[in-house]
Amino acid sequence: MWLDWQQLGIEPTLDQRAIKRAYAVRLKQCRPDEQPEAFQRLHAAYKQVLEWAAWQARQQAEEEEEAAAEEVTDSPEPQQPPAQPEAVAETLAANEQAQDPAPSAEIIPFAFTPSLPEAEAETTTPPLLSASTATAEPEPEPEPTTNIGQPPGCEPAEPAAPLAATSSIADETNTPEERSQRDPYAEEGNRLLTLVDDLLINPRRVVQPASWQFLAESPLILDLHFNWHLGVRVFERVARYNSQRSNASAWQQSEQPLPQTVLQTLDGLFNWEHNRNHLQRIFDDELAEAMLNQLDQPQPTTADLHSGLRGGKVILASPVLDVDKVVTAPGARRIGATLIDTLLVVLPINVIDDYLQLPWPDLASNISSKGAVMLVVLVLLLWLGEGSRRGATPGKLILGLKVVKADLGPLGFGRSLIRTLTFLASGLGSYLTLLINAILLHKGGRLIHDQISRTMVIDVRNSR
Amino acid sequence: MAILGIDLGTTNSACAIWDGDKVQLIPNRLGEFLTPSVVGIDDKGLVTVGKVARDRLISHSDRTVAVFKRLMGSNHQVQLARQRFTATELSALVLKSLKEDAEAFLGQPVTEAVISVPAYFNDNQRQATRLAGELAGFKVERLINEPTAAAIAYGLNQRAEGTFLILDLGGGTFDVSILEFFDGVMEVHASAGDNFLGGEDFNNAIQEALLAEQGITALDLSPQQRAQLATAVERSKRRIGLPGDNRISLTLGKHQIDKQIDDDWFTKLATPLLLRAKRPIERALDDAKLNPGAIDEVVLVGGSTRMGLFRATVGRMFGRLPACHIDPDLAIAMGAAIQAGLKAKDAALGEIVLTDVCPYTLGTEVNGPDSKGGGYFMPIIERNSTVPVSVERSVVTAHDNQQVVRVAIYQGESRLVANNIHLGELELAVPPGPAGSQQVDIRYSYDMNGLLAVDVTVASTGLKVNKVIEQAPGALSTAQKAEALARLDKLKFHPRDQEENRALLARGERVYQSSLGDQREYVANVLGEFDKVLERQNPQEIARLRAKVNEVLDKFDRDNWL
Repeated sequence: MWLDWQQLGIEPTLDQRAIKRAYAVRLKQCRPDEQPEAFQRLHAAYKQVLEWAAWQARQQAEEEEEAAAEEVTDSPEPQQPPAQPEAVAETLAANEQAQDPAPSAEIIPFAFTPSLPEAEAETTTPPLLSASTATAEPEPEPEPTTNIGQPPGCEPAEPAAPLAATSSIADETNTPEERSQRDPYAEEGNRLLTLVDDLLINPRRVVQPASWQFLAESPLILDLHFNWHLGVRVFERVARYNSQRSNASAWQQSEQPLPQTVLQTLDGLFNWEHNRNHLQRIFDDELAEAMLNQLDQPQPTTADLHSGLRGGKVILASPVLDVDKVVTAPGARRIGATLIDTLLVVLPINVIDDYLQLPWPDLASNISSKGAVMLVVLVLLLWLGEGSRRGATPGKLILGLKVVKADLGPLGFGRSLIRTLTFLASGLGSYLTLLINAILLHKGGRLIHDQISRTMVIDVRNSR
Repeated sequence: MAILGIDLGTTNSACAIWDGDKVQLIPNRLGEFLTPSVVGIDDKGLVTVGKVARDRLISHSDRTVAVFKRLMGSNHQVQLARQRFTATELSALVLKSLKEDAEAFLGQPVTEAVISVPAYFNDNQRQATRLAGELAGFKVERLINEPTAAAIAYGLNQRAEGTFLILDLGGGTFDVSILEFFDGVMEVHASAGDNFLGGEDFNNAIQEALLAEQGITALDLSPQQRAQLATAVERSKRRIGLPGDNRISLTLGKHQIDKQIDDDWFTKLATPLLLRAKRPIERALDDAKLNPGAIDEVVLVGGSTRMGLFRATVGRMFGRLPACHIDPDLAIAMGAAIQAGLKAKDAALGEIVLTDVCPYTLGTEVNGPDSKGGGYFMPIIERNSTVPVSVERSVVTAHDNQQVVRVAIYQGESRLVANNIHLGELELAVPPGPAGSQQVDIRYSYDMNGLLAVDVTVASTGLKVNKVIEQAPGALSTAQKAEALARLDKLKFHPRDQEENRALLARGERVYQSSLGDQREYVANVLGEFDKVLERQNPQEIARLRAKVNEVLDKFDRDNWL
């Protein structure tokens, strides 16, 4: 690796404190908000140099340790070649600490380096599985590396390879028979796994996320170490369950794999998605891959958004329409909407008329005043309905249609009036206009009054 | 002129300035540092913000709203009385109220501000916050991540060097940041978070469990009753883990709730939420390539970190007690003020440089493996890169004789773009050729203000297209902004001088509504008397009686913090 010591303005050194000090001095000369480019160069150089120094330090420590070990045993064995990729070196260091008979309180199971090379899998899993959980509480710390993976009666189903790392550690640290007698962790783990096994043979309950809630209610689930161990075992059972059912056809109800909702609930408990790399190393590819691919956490829904809101009343925004995706309304629905609107006007007026027996004077020889009233009400309905915020008459609303301007904006009452009047003119005007409209409608386009008022009727349902 | 540092919180807001050698917190019109982020419209159409509005949540729940920060960055609206507001506008009203308080306290106009946002706020939410600041009449100098602000305050306060893990559990959001402080350098290593996890979620869990146990659905309750329940739950939550009786007993219409809240019951309810809190902690540690042992101090900020259960859980994770040398409610406002001082190049802070990260991955849409079609996400700027940052990645054409390349810009962590947030897109023409023959270089540059610039170059022709993503989809145009400004300007605030009396009346009203029988009558009498004295407008008499009324209310309502 080429290291840019010049950026930092110091001679190559292994002293991390000196590197930081040099960076601090330089940083004040090129602040990120004033000289962004110079800062990026400086920061990149600093990070590289620091990583290199840390790696060197670890190498040295390792060599010294080995040398010390050699002195003690006086063995003439050749030194291990120290050329290791960085990430591995780091984990190995952590690994050694973890295997220490008295693990330091600082090591927590989830502290691992992601993206490790395949070959190192065997040796890199132990820090995850063996470190003791640091607890601030005074209660006696039970050894967490127990055999919760092997509940009684489940022996044959246990795969040999996946959990090998765990059992080997367990063997080293304690005798399983002794510990499981009084270990609350093992007892709780076994209890939960038995419940999981019971659940998995109940096809109706197993597909409901709520059925798995008992896992979250375990008093130990917040213990990081217990959580990881239990998670691995549940993962294995669920993955196996799903892989056996992956080819089930839709009608075999009892043979369906677990739905994504259940997997996401479980992921919420065990954070599998985050530990993807580790699970992939423990389990064979096909088994893990199929499961992990379904674990994308869903986006927060609108319900999440206003779940905590107190007071007020939430008005949900209507989805934004896209000019390119707008679908003009089909002819049948437009005619249907107009029919509904007409009925909405004609029926009530007739009912009122029947009831009150109003005397309708004739306005002219062939125009009754009743008809005129109906016409006026219809005009008002069209004008106010389409000009309103909803952009639709009751009939259009029922059939999911909306009138918008060419840019999809609302009409306003002015444009709506033009639209209504031209509609009337075209409708009452002559049979010829009706005919033209019918032809236009047939082509799925805009009618005469649509075009004159520069509006169009769209299908809201299909436009989203 | 000073730049105001503002913590715009889900539950409470606060503001402060850097006065040359220390942080000066700014009291509001009631003389308190915390202003509840609650907005209400009273019967005369005047806007009320803060404690008065909060006390009116029960009595006027249709005209008052809280926890609207959750809606930031969305187009949903909230109806108060007959007016509709977006979360941005409601936030602007809170900011306006803070601005007034600051101007009254400092005796000069304040026009610039640094506003804090949750570290895990996405681009849309950040734009909405910036806009809220502008609508309130501020020039928003910078948005600062809340945990970063808390860390600055902590680091400067304690004069401590080392690596800190900041856990910020507020009313509505949870943030995790890892910071290193040495030689005046404050470097953020990683930030992660959950935008839907906060104290309110713990309240909701208790509330839902209570209702489920009594066989009541939330729809059976009127808004007033719901607000009454929410208040009782909040009060009870704060008593969990403390010695003494913790019982919720409420009469909500024909429903009766009587429940002893004990620790085990609460722990059971809270466990799923605490498990959610564990996720971002793990992620931040991983991204910073640190193990918990490398953390020198765990710092808790945000009011909800007062929960004993949360502290215990953190303690177990890190094997040590978290630090709480700093006021969890005010740390963020103090940090924002320090950032404002940094921005103004204050001499006392000249030696401090802050570097932050971009907490989300930014990338583009590409075809999947085995040419399964589009919809896959290709990261370009990895999350938790130190900003400013500029990264270039190349893609090639997917089809033979492809004529146009569409670069869609996304933010998020999912492998599928559908689950990430779409920020914009641009198209450019490429010369025809077999699939894979045309290379297109995409450069993303993310600056300190959270502005993303995208430059796309066709390698063979040198054709360049660039786009600055500053307008989130659904953001306002200049005209719309002017319109919103005019609309907010029309809203009148309550005059400041009456605030104390109004606060007392609102509190009395709340106590009246949540008490029964004789007690209720007594409160009514006292308030009636106070009303009469108010009418006589004798300041001395009012002040005397105010103290008396407060005493009476204290008897029935010991938890004045609510």
